[in-house]
Amino acid sequence: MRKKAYIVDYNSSNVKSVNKAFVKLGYQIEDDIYAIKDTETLLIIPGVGHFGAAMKHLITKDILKRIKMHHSNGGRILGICLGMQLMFGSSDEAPGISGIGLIKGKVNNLKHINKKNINNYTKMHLGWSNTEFLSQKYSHDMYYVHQYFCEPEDSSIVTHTFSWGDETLCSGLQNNRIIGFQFHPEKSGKAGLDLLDSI
Amino acid sequence: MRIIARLDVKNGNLVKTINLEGLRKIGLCKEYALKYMNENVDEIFLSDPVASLYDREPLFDLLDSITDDLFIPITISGGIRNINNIRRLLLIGADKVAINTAAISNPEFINEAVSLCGSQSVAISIQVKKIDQKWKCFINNGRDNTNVCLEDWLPEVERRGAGEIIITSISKEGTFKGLDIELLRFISSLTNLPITYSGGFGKLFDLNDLVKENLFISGLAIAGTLHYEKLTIKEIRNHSQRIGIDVRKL
Repeated sequence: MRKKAYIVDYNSSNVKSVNKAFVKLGYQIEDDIYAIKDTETLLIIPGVGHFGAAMKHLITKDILKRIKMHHSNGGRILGICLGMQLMFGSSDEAPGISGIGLIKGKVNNLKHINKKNINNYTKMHLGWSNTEFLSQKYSHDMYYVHQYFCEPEDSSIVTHTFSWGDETLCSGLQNNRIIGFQFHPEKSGKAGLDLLDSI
Repeated sequence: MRIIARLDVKNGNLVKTINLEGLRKIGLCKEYALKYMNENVDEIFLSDPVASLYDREPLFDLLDSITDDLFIPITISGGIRNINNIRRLLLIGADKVAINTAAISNPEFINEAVSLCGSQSVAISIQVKKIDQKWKCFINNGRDNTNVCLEDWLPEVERRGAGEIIITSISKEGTFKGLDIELLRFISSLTNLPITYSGGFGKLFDLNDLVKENLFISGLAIAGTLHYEKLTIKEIRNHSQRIGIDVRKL
């Protein structure tokens, strides 16, 4: 049976890139979130954009409830970049706005990290960076574009990390049926596609 | 430093210019883009260099077809005039747009683009040539001098929120005679934005000038040297690493 995925569309610019990557991997992309079978379909929340604007869209289009239901019915969820941050309860980027709230922890601005030891410091983490795949004890450069990062309360769910100055930060997590990547596997060449194929 | 393959396009074909003049046909653009992805290039820069001159639309269909199979970052330029152009290009799968003519003729367009799509998606393309001891910004693929001085334009672009500068040295472009170190030295004091440089890269040793002069560029956009197989991406990456330029590790 073909693997199935549904990609949440909230006007984020990279929906189509994510779509194309999963098509390449042989997934059948479903187009009606109310018609998907929770236990069969991987629900993907992509994202480049603003935490507050994204949540607003999920609420007004009534997608938030459906995402939570998918999870409680035993479905799997993949969050990419902003999509991973949305899994948390809140973010520095939009104080006072609630996230989906499936993962406990915080989403902070990279500017709070000591930047003393960062060469050519920029306020945005943009480009290919070394990423540790913790379970495989191996590392690979992956493609990042972000200004905020996730800090799960339970550090045992962290699957991938990257370095920012002196700090090692979370760039991937798995908590039961929830998977998240801060980098963009759909833009990280073969290593990225291999990673998506393995989930 | 990102190693970027620069693909100049006409009618779906990859073309090459010298000093941004004249077009020589090389082959099908998509085939080259995928070839470079398979050789682990860090990014693709896709450009229709004379779109604004001939009032052409951006390369929507070509981009759409390329991104079906391209899974690395891609920047697109040429003929971007309005917010709807940008939104559509990003939706099709571009990660960044690079704007030249429309930004110089209406600088407010930069602010508008940034507020809608974020700094990370908006690069400004600048083509420069030194005339009477002044670096001047050109449009229409090096044809028309806008008389805007680089030292005025660069800080303005940064102030208006662009996320990256893609700068081409017109007099070096297509010559394979080495990077424009004088230009790079000049701009390093003018901006803190990441700089992608294009023009003149022809041999590995050219990169040593960057190290010698302590110049940092975020990206090197390479056209002819890759298209005519003078060097491979692997050779460029290995040499960069050897001389201490930080490149993506494979």
